[in-house]
Amino acid sequence: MTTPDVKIYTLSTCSHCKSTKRLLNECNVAYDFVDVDLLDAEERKAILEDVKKLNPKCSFPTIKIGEQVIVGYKEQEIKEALGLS
Amino acid sequence: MADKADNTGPNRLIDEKSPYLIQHAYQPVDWYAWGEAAFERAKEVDKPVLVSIGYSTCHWCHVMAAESFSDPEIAELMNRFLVNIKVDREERPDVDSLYITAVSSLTGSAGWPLNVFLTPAGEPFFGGTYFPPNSRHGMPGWPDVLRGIHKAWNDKDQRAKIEDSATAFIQRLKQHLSELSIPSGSTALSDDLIRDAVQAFAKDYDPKNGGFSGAPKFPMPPVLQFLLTFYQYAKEAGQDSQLRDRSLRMVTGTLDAMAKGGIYDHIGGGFHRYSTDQFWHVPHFEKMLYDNAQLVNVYTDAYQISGDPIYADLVKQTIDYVIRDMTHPEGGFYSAEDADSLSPDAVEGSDKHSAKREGAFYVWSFDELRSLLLVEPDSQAAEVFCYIFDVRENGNVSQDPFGEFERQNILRQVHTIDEAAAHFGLSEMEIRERVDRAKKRLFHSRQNRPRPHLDDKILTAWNGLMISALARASRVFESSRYLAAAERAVGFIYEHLYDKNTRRLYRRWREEERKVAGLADDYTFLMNGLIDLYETNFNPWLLEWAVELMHEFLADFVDLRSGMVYMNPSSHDPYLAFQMKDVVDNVTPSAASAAVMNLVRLYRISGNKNFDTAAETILRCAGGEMVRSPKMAPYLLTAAIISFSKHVHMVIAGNKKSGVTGQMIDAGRRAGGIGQSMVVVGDMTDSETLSHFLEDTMEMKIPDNGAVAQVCFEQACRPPVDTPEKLIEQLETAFK
Repeated sequence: MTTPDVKIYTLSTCSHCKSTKRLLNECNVAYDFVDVDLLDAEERKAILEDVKKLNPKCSFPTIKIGEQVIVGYKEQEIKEALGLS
Repeated sequence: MADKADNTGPNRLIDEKSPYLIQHAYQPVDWYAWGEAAFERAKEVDKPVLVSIGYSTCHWCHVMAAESFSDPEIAELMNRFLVNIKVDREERPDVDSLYITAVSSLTGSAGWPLNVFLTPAGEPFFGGTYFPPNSRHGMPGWPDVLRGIHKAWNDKDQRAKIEDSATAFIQRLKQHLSELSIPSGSTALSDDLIRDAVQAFAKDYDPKNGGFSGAPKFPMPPVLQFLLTFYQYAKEAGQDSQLRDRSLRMVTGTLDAMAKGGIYDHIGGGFHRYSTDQFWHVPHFEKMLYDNAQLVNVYTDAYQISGDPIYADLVKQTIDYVIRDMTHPEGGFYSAEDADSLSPDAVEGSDKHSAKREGAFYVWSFDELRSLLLVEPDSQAAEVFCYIFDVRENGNVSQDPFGEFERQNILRQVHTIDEAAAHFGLSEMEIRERVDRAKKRLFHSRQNRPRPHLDDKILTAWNGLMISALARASRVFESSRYLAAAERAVGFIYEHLYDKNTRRLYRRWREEERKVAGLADDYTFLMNGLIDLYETNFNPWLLEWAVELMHEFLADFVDLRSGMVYMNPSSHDPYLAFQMKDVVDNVTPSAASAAVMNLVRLYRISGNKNFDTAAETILRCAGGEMVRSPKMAPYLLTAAIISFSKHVHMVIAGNKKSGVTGQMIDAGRRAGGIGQSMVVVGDMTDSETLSHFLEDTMEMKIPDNGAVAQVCFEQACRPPVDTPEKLIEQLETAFK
């Protein structure tokens, strides 16, 4: 079984983003992340456009697992999408 | 100590600190306080034990004390036949709860004074409430009861029966209560159950007079709080428009009627304990801290919803009363003021005891009131006052079975200011000025009367309620005085009623002595006060202490498998037959209800999942019982409502003294909904303290100027914003 690509959009200030990273680390899942608030203005603008396409409310973490999008630290949903439960 | 051999000098109770126990120190009864000495003595002399329970503002307790316990002949019987224990139920609600349950199972009813007879092993076999000194109206006299007990105890066969049946009884009671405590099927509380409860209270509601019963009528703050919270919840969710309006009307109807009635002290502020009639007119005049604390909260919430200035006035006057008359110089709050006091015209008399009269401090004869108000420059002042407050020449009390209020007036507002303005052809302003002046004059005159007895013991639980009330009122009415009073009281409890090494609370403090290990309501009501105060001044130490107390509480008072909440820890007292559960709301919430509210709030603030799980377990445990009796615990339903409501979590970073931070906080409070939680990080010390108990600390940089706020909702956060307007915009989208 191939693990789907995992990408998460996060804020450095947000507790649920931290929890999500912790969960992925605990499950030994490889993932890309970007702390949107730490980008410079130009980059941030571009990335926010991407996030809005996935999640119009533009809240964090926005988690992309394969083609599935999960908004927020929803432990159960994340595990299911990863095929871990 | 030797037994009391003669009738001179005080008995053992002189060494106690409870004002109620001290009231019995000069009686000829050889009283013991609850504890080892009494039970050891009973075993040694092989006599039954009398446990006699009351509290200092209990009228019939005083009557029985004067008639029987002060009578040398009756006392001699008690001393010869029994080992006698006096208990202040406010100090030991756990002892009280056990024996109230026992006596009501034995006899079908119970109340105070409560008199229960135990074997020396501590098992109850007979009991009752008030007994007259001589048999009357089919009630046996107290000496007859004593002789009957003595005779039976000394008859071999009868004594064997008593002992067997007492053992069997206590086993049955224990069995029965433990069956209740593990409900057959636990049930999750639902919106439907909450609606059922609103409907059930609607059936009890008195649409004419307000309140939820006939006479006697109690304020029942947990019921009012539940109905108000249901209104806010349904409004926020945009549902149940008819039921929610009805719910609000029941609250305002009751609050309006109480505000006008004699249950409220129109001259000095503060509420009396309950009304003996269904009109809120003739009260029992004692004033209890717990009523006043909770009613301040209910009136404050109602003011926020309705904007009615009368509610604001009541809150302010009641807090003034508590700060003026019920506060220890170091900041703790006293427990209660008695109903009875020396009648002003009888002070010179020789028999001071019999001159004490119910409500004497609060009532007015027409002549006295008129002569006081005739001094006013305006000749109509007395007339206006009498018209508004129903003062009549022959007194205004029509139902007076004990003849206590002959020709006296218990002030109640029967006409509004605008009615009086129309009646006297004056402006509302002119009427208001006259009323205010008259009230001041009566207040000052009343200060010369002998005051009712003050029960000045300081109880952790009730102080917790008052801290909560002051904290919330200080936010709504922007009063630094209320905030300071709440902070001082927290300091008092921390200093005098908390052991920093063992992390244990105590229940009672008086005259430099703390006593009685904290009970479930001490922990839960104090935590509630600490959380409310945190949400007011955002001092993170308050939350840290609350979280610490919660860990102690869960370990000692809660069975986390079944969800049952107990009044005391199992190891608490070897002389109590078993642990009592604390799940039914009364005039104050049960510890279970208050615990769930604290758990929900602490979970929302801290993200600690154990708190969420514990709240759910307790709710499910109560759920089975609540389906059968939805009115059992309105404050538990209030907590359930908060747990069902949308949760918006806000973190605000900014110097707490800066105006922008304040504006952000205000905006968050206004738009965050009833289930919101808020953390404010003012400096590095705050964030260090918060990191001790927040699951995931927020790494928000505190800006040098201004403030930033981050909103989280449904496990996701929005990018931080730096103006109150943007914060409100984000909160509004969370509710869409």
